[in-house]
Amino acid sequence: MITFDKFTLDNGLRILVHHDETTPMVAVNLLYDVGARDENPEKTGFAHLFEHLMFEGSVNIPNYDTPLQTAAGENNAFTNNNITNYYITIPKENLETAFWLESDRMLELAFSQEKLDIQKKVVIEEFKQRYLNQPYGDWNLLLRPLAYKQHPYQWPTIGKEISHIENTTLDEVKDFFFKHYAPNNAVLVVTGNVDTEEVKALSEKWFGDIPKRNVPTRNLTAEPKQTEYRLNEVERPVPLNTIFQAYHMVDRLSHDYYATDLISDILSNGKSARLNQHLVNEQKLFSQINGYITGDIDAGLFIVTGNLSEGVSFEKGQAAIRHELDAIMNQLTDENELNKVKNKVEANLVYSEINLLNKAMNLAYFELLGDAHLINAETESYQKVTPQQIQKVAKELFRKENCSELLYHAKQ
Amino acid sequence: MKLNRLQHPAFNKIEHINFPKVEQLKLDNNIPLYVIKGGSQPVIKLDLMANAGAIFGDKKLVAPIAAIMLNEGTRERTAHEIAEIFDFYGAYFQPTTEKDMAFIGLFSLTKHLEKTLPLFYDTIENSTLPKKELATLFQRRKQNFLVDMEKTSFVARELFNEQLFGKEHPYGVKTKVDDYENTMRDDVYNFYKSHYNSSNYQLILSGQVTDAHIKLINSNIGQTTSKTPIDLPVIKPQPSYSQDPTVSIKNDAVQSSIRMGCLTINKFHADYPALKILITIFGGYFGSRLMKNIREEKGYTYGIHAMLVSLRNGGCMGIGADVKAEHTKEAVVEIKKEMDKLCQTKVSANELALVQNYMMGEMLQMFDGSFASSDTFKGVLQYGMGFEYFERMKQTILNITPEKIQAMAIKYFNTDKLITVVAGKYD
Repeated sequence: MITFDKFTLDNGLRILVHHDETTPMVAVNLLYDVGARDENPEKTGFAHLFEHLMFEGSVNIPNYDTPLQTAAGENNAFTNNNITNYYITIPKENLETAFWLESDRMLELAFSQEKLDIQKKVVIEEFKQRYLNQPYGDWNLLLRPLAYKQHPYQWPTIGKEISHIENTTLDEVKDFFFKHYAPNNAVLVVTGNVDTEEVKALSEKWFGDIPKRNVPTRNLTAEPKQTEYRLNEVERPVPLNTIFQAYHMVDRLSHDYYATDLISDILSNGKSARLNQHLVNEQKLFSQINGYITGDIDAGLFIVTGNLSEGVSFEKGQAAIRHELDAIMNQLTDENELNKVKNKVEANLVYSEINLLNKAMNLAYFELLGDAHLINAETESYQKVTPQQIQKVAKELFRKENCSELLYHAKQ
Repeated sequence: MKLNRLQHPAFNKIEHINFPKVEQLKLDNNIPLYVIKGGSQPVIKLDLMANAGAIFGDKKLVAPIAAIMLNEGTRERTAHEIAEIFDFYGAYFQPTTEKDMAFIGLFSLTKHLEKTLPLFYDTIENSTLPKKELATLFQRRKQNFLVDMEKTSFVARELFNEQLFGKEHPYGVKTKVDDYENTMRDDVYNFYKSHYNSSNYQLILSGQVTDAHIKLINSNIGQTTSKTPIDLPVIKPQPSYSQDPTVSIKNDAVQSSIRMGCLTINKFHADYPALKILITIFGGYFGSRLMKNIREEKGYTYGIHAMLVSLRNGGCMGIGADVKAEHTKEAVVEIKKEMDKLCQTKVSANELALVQNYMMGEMLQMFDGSFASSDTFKGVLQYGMGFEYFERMKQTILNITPEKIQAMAIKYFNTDKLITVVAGKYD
């Protein structure tokens, strides 16, 4: 159970405060409701490139990191297909430094061509390091456009291709900022040994005078129901043949989300889970195999991925995966097995409340989903799932024509 | 009054850190138990530190495989049964093998400790290392190794350790694909039998700990009889110095992985805290010299880092980056330049003050809660030290001078004894 207070400034900035006396630190998490799904299909990777520019100085503060580090703080950020999230941990007595820095970069950035050029280079190296210079690194670049034909989840956060990053102009950067970086498009969470009045005063002082901005209403095309199996086979200099499968799943707020998540746990969470027990330990068809959900806000993907053992054919591996998926579609899951994964979810939710920053991030995310109170209903939502619901959801999820499959053939 | 956004609001320098209390107990069989209480959640963590790290193994894979095999079957339970029980209670069994020590961790809800702890100790005390599971594990690890060998970062790290410590040294010996075929069950079993016994253990317990938990641990782990502990082997590193980098070519690489470094000192040495500050300035935080130069000015890399590593048989400094392949040579030159600069010119008072504050904040985080504190404690316990080491670290940070930083650079940044390794392209 996470308790919190919530208030909203006149400019629309939502602020949540969670009190925790056990720590000398505070966490400040600022989530902007913008991600790779909001990008122009011809200019992908933009939200993430923009995140880098947020560290290159703001209108009144030439350097972001130096003053923060001087005040003994640490920070980082991440961008995904849904959101861009910035966070700081800092000793409680220096909390105001975080407000000063975060409010100034919400007010306006110090846009400069030179800084843009450098960060383009850095992001291109990030692209190479994560997606090109790793075995199987490009799977996300290949599988997403196979699974999504309409929805912008068809490209990864880093972007479709390097040229999109190279071609970014300073005008586009400015435009993006004023479109998406607005108090009325953000959620601020403070956790630590703070009281709400103190945070209220700091929020009014530093964020109060930032104008509300015209944030365009998001209007994304929903991905149409997939009606035929899709396949992409590639040859790469990788050591092992590998299978990636993607099945369209429900969105984050759907009632069936919890059953879908539990299906991924039954198949793949922990050593005792089915895929590992059956296909790695017993049948030895895969050296490793995983199933997990992307859990995106809009309808996401259920991913199954495995490295085939030496000498095992794709057909054999595919048939074995299909057998496991059929089993969960055709037979009611045993109550004991379902309880096991529910217990694990419950424990993991408790573990997730240990860390101050984690709590701040989770509160911000649930507030974005609609209401931070949802976070305290999670355990119950999982507990309510029945074997019948698991079966019903699996039947829709694991239809063969709902599958997009990517096969990596190892080049000899 | 108009808000002054140009001015950094008042802030405090961090000068005080509450080092948590560590209770020192002994189980009935004399195994030391260190307890760090705290936390807002009903969670408990037990770390068993064993004299069973890589340095103790006479063959490359023996130590890590022994640790991973612990929960693959005991006299009374199969691997599957063990996995089912841990998963059912939402508990985590976490074996890690470092270069010196092995750590076997149990992370559990307090309400389930009565169930998870006996199982945890059963896996450590009564493991049978079944043949079938061992063969599967070797097979899986071999395939993962083949994937790793395609990563320039992995190849560079292996090569770096070999050059720095020597190819026969347990810290430096590379993994070969044959190791997965040639390591025998007897090798692993003998290692397990001689190293996993109570004389070689120390325990660290953290979280919402009660006396009942301590009793439970004593009745489970404190009853076997101890033998003489095994001493950590003393083996001198044998570095291979050369003026030119050691290069492993990968023609399709779009980035090169650079690893550079030299032998230094470990936590036993009085200079260690001051050297740690130097390395932080050099490459230990986001605003470091290396990050400023190679990422923020030149855009050659997504990230570059330097770190100081303490090992019982000597410490080392390591620098690592994945850089744009065309700029590999320039990056190597720039790294050396930054080392020279620290030898030749004193750091400014401003830069030093920033790093002092940054490191104090970092230390505050290392002691933020009982789990963070117990992780921190692991790093000193293996040197027979406690948090007094961090008191010394804190005093060094607060009192360090530009002269001392320069003296550390001159003493430890010896470019004649710098090892440079590149995997990828170098032309």
